[in-house]
Amino acid sequence: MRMLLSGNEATAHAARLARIEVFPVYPITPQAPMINSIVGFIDRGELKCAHKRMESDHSALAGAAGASLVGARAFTASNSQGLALMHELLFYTAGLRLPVVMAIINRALSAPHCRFPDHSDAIAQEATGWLQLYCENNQEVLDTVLQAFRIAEDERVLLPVMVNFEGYILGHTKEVVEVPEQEAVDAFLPAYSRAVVDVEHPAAINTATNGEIYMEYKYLQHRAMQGSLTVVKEVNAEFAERFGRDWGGAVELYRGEDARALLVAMGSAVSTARIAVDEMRAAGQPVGLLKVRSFRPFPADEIRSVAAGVRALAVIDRDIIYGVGGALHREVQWALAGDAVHKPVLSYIAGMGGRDISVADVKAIGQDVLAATEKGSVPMGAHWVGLKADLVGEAK
Amino acid sequence: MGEREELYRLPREELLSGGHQGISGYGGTIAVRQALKALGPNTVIVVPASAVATVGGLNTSTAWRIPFVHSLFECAPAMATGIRAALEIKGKTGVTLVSFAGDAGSADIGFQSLSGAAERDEDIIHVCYDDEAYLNTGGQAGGTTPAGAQTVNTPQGKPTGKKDLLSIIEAHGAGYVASASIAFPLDFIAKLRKAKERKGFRYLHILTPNPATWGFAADQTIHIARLAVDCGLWPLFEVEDGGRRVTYAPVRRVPVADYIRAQGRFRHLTGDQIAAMQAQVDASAGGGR
Amino acid sequence: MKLPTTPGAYQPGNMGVNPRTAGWKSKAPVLDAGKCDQCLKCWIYCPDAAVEVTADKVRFILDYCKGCGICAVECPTAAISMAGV
Repeated sequence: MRMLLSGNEATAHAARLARIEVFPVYPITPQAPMINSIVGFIDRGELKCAHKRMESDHSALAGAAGASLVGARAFTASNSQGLALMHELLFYTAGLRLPVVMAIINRALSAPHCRFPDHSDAIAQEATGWLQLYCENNQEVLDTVLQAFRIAEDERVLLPVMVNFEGYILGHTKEVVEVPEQEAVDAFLPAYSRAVVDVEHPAAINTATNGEIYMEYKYLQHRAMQGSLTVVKEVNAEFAERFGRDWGGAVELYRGEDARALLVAMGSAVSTARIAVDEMRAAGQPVGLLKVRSFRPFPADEIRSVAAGVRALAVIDRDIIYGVGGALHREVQWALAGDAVHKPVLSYIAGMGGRDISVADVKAIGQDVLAATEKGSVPMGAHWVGLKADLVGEAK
Repeated sequence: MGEREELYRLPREELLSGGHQGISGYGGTIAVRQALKALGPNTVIVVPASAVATVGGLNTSTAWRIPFVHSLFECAPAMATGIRAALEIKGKTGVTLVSFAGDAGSADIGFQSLSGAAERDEDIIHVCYDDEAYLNTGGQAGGTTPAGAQTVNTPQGKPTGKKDLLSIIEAHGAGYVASASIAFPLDFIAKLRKAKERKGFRYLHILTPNPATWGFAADQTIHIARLAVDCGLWPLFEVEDGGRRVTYAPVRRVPVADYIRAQGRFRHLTGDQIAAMQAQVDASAGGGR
Repeated sequence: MKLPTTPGAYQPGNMGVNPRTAGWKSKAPVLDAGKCDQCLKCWIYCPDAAVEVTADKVRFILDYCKGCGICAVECPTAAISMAGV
């Protein structure tokens, strides 16, 4: 059925179709409309699920972890300060190998206070052991939440998954979304029931460990994260076959034919960049687009092979690691580090705190990267798109 | 039924096996053993960072014979909330669910999640085992450390008083709230059994003296716990649906000084200070405050 | 032995088999059976599940006992004494 849905509402429909069983959550702007939608489904008897009205984001994830230990399909949602508050529980959930799925309606972090989007909230959690998928539109949000449960619950993975989409830009903006039938989703996503807490089979979970086994557990987690890349791709392929929508798996190359340079982006900037690339192609400029859908696991091999035919790349980050630059740029550079031929990888910080990333912005980046294919070298450091020089005391 | 007969009727099964790594004479593990006599095998226990979280497990070995979850420090009641929700949705009934937290995991760092679970009337029993200091990190003072107690970070004695968590949880409107002592195991077990028969949020607070941080010999743990009750500083009571009842009243109260002078952490207190404590206890009349 | 996926211990009570605590004590309880009237105080106050009660006998499991001496102090008939090991 086609419906006009915001990203928050699309997530709620996905949660309903996934038949989530326990939903412990704490409201935070701009995620709260999702809670209201899911509670509505429960209230009207369209979803059999325990909504737990927790007293903090920290407790919300603790509740989800507890529910998952008993074998229930657990879902929650947060962002920004709430996600930061969850920090230690992110490690805990991943370390216990619990397939919790969480929607992150990305929002900038304080200080200064800001309720508008960027990816810094999720990027800051890159080392916690969660998979991180990023969406470019509300259809992808719905489809990715469904895929996330399949990926997380796969015996080869058993790791929690964050599904990221920017607040307001996707979170509050309505788009036409195809909502699949329950029967089709049930066939794609079977029920979950892996209980490790069970009075019939008593076990002591998270016993104290020491150097005798801790390192092996960390290796197993690392291996599972690496191996999850295959599962991300497989699940996307199966989803595409069943539902007719292909989001590219871990990465998607758009208009890569004969491209001399690639733009690289995540999230809603991808949908903007598609328009920019179309316009540049129409003007005869050979620029392609690489959408990174999976930041964790990071598809380094695929990026290296996709980039093999181009002479330069430009990475657009909606995040900042202070003193270093953009996280996606750093990862792409790492992915290309083994290449025999050195390629310039330009870095752009854009859209922080909800500042718009326009088609014109992306086209300007496209011109830069085409120019870099001629020069073969790039200036160090990131370019901050649209930075107001007077506000930072730097002459234009 | 006499005390001896009641003890004989308790299950012999040890749901926390011997061989656990609790320190010698530790009140916390006594409380666990006694609690398990009432709770039985159909119980899930969630324990946040604290002595009891680590004594019963090392690598792949465990002393627990019931499902045990070592949660993070500040969220045992929140994890229990999720566990209960999942048990219900999966149709698993008849499971007793306990979050068993120390004083820090209940009164201080764990207070937010405890308060949340109490307010939502979650179907869990929370037991606070109170050793009145942060044992795992060397005995620093916390919210339930009493006034005057010397600890490693209150070398002159704690200047402020003990946080009254029982009253705080009672004020949340919890259906069942009770104090307990490891020196009065049948009283504790009776309260837990009563709690187990009820639904909703239930709270028990048991005083568990610790030889290492309180400053007494390991064989005195029960003796000290008994003195706390008999001098009136730790009255035993229960509040059931708002109705308050003293469950044990000493025939004749012992002087507070007997309790204070038996512990190294109070050795610096003057006679006047102890007299002031005695006056406070006398004023409260020991009636479950 | 491959580690279980979710970290933990999956054999209930296996810490009680050949326990590390066996060597923790410097003293151990000795029972004067003639004085013991089987009141079970030592059993209910033991922190370490080191007192075993059979039909008519109290017995100490010394591998579990850490020698705290609570049983000796709490015994109403003074039937337990602590002796060096």
